[in-house]
Amino acid sequence: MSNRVQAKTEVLQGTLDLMVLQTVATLGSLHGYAIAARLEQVSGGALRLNMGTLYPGLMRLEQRGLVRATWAVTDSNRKARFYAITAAGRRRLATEKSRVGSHDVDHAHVLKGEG
Amino acid sequence: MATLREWVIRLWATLRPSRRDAELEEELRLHLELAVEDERRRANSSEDAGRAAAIRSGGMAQAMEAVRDQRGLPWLDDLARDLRYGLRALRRNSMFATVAVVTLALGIGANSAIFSLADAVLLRTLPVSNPRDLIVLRQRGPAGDIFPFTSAAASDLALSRDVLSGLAAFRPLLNTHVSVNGETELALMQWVSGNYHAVLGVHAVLGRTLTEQDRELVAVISHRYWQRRFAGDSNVVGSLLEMQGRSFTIIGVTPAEFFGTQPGRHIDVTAPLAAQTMRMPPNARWLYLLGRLVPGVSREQARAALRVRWAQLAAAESSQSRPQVTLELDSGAQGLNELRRQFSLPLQILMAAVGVVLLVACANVAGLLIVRSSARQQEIAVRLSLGAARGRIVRQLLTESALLAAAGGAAGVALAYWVTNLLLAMMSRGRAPIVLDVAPNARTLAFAAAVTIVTAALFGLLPALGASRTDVQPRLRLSASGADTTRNTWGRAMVAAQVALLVLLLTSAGLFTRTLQKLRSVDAGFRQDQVLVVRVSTGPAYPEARKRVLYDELYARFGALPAVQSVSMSMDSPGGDLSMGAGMAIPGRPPDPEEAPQVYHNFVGPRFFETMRIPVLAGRDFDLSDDERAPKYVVISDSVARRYFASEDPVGRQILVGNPQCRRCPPPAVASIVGVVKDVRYASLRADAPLMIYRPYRQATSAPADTFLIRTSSATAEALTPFLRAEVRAAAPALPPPSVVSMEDQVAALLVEERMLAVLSSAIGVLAAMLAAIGIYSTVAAAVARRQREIGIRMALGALPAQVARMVVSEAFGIVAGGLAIGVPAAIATALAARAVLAGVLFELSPVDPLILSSSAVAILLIASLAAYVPARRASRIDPVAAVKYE
Repeated sequence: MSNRVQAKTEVLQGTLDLMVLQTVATLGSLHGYAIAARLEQVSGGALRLNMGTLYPGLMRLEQRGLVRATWAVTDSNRKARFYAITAAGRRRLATEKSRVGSHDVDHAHVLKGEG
Repeated sequence: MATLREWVIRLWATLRPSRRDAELEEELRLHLELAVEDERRRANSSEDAGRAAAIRSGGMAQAMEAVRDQRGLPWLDDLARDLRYGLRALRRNSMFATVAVVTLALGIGANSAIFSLADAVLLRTLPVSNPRDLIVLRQRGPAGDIFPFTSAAASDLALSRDVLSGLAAFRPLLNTHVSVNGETELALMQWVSGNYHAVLGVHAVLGRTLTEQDRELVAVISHRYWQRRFAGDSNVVGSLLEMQGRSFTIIGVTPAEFFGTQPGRHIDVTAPLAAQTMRMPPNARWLYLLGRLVPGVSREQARAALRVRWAQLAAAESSQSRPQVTLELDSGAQGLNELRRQFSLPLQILMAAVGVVLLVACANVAGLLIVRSSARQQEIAVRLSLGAARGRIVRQLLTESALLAAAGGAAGVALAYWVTNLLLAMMSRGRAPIVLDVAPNARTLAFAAAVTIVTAALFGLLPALGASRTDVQPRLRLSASGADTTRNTWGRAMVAAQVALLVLLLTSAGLFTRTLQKLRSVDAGFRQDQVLVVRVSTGPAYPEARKRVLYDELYARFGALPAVQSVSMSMDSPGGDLSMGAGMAIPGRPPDPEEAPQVYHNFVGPRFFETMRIPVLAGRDFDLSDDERAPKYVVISDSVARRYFASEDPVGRQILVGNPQCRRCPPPAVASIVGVVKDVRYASLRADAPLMIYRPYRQATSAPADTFLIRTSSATAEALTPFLRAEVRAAAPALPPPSVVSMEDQVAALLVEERMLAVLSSAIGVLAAMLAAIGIYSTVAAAVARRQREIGIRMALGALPAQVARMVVSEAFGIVAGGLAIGVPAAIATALAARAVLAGVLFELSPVDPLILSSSAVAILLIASLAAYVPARRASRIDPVAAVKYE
């Protein structure tokens, strides 16, 4: 993999991570499907996350201590893994948001928690 | 951005896999279920909902794989899998694996062995604090000879406090008689100035080390001596040692790693110079100097400052030859390293040679791997077609190479330790054993590891890349049975490379062996066989009068032993060092100029020339009548006769024995020449024989002739040793057993570097030849296997077995000819480039010797035909029917 491609992938990963963080920061503890559905909804259907992208991302955030996962029961009484943002995750989100600013138009409204 | 925490978690997850797979599956299944419910809610039929959900969420298997990759460290997983796979593959082909590992073990082992020795002799610093700040001082004479210092010079130089924070003097004494509890053994002791341990920064592990205040009879012993003589007794401090008739109190033990300040020698006992009572003449140059620089002072500054001081000292003394002597200041990080001077060049040459062997081993294993990978091409093609990335396949094949190299490296290190000890024994032959710690240390292990990694890369990369370039389509369509007619170009290139390197190794082995042969056939001037050199040292405390009585008694006792033909004695024995360059003059003639060759004196016993079989050219040998009361007679060597008497007959002429210009020497005495003998070589077989004057040992002022020379009638000189020791014990029970060396061993010690080069380069050459033979064999055998069908058809069409065999052999010769075409010019070019280095090692031999070059080439052709013989025979026996039907 060339350096350019790698750098690009990292940017995309980083953006996805931020969007997921923003989502759980706004809505509190969510399971994976809820996060994907929420992101699809706020992007107006433009952002469809398949499981192969979403779950490694969640795993990465968990490994970095930005989210914490716990098993709990959903509204429909099913066992699910819920992801909640940690203090470190909030700090990270704050610094990244100030860095990204508003030039990243596509994802800006997601990051601002609108919609 | 990955944090350390993340890596730790991932590493942990890799090491303990599968625990959370079930949880993950549950999580993903829920995701899919919720997705299906959502789709259904959007008014899809149930199958459509399932498909839509699957499309939107992606496959479960892929997602699990992606999460697993993120969870653990995939490359580590891959590595573990590659290792398991590689081990299985190697076990399946254990013949190949064994040959490869043995080849690598020999290559890496040879490198590690020579490197361990080079490390101990050339690289390792003294195990003391800040060895880099240490310096050694030496005097260099006009002829480049190096000698130590007088007591006066030592104490004067020690006053240079502005550049040296301390200057320690030391003097080792070989074969000192040391008694512990009445039992006498020979030990290596040294006299040192009181600041010796302080300058080095060596602290005692038990008791204390010496200080400037120690003027009494005290001694510090080495850790090894403490273990050996006192069994590591923790109460050793305060025990007594008898040396030179006096009792020394042990005050301390030095650390285990501290051997003294001369690599190769292990000092057992160290005592203060202040307690040394033997009176040294004021002009005796006997002290070695080792100092520590003042922090911040460079060696250059110190050298300049000390040379100024040295010039003042010389001016004050106004001695006759001082101005020609320069003061040398060198790094003392390795102490006073005599081994370095002697073995530096041979070790560097051998290092280069084993480096070449490693290349041969690499080419060999690479060739084997290529042969093997062409057999494995089908397997690789299957894996490629099933979607394996080429990078993964290269990595897999490299892992196998790394496994081979690691096994070879481990075996090599073990082999090296054994070989290094063998080499040390070889270097020590005929003289005091060289004591070096050659156990693997961090540096030698790091070297072995580096060599192993480089080796793996060298032999593994090419075959791996070649194999991964496999074209899938044709491989899958063809079977492995031998329809493959591609020529094994890289494999042949590897064999040719081995042959080229082999030329280099065989010619160097030839050069060094021929040099040794030539030096061995140098006429030493005496017969070396069946002579024992017996050194009976009494120690300086033994009274002079008793010494003479003892030597007379021993002379008689030795002469009476069975199988002894004749006995004599000498101060310096032929084939050994000369100690007395006392000069001579002819009465009535002007003295020799300063630059005239030195004339040496040797005190010898009766029948010396007969015992040594030194031909008497004119006059007579010494006999029992040449004693104290007889007139002063001398026997001169042929070269002295030619230099001083030209065509006149020297017998009956008178000479002045001694140097009339030397003020401090005894005044020259007049003596008559009674004989002229053939020239004899002493400490060097390369240099011209020294100018010698032989004097009767009875006419010496002291009894210096402590070396008995015993010619035996039987070839087994060693058998006599216990009897000789018994006679010494009977005559002087208090003396330690004498050292007994055969004259052949003593002369062999003169050629230790040459023998080391000759034996090792030959061993290296044989090793490389074996490797090349394996390489040629396996390449040709693989070619025969590949061409089985073609050969079968040829034979079916009427080719004779002999023709087939010739075809196979000529293929081998083609490869070898290619190797020779590169190797011979390369060997010539190398020899010419290294001409200056080789000139110091070779003897009466040109670095480019046509005979040696051509015999190397012939030897290689012979090896090649032997290696090709077996596969050629197999080819000639191929059954055409079976071969053609086989498809």
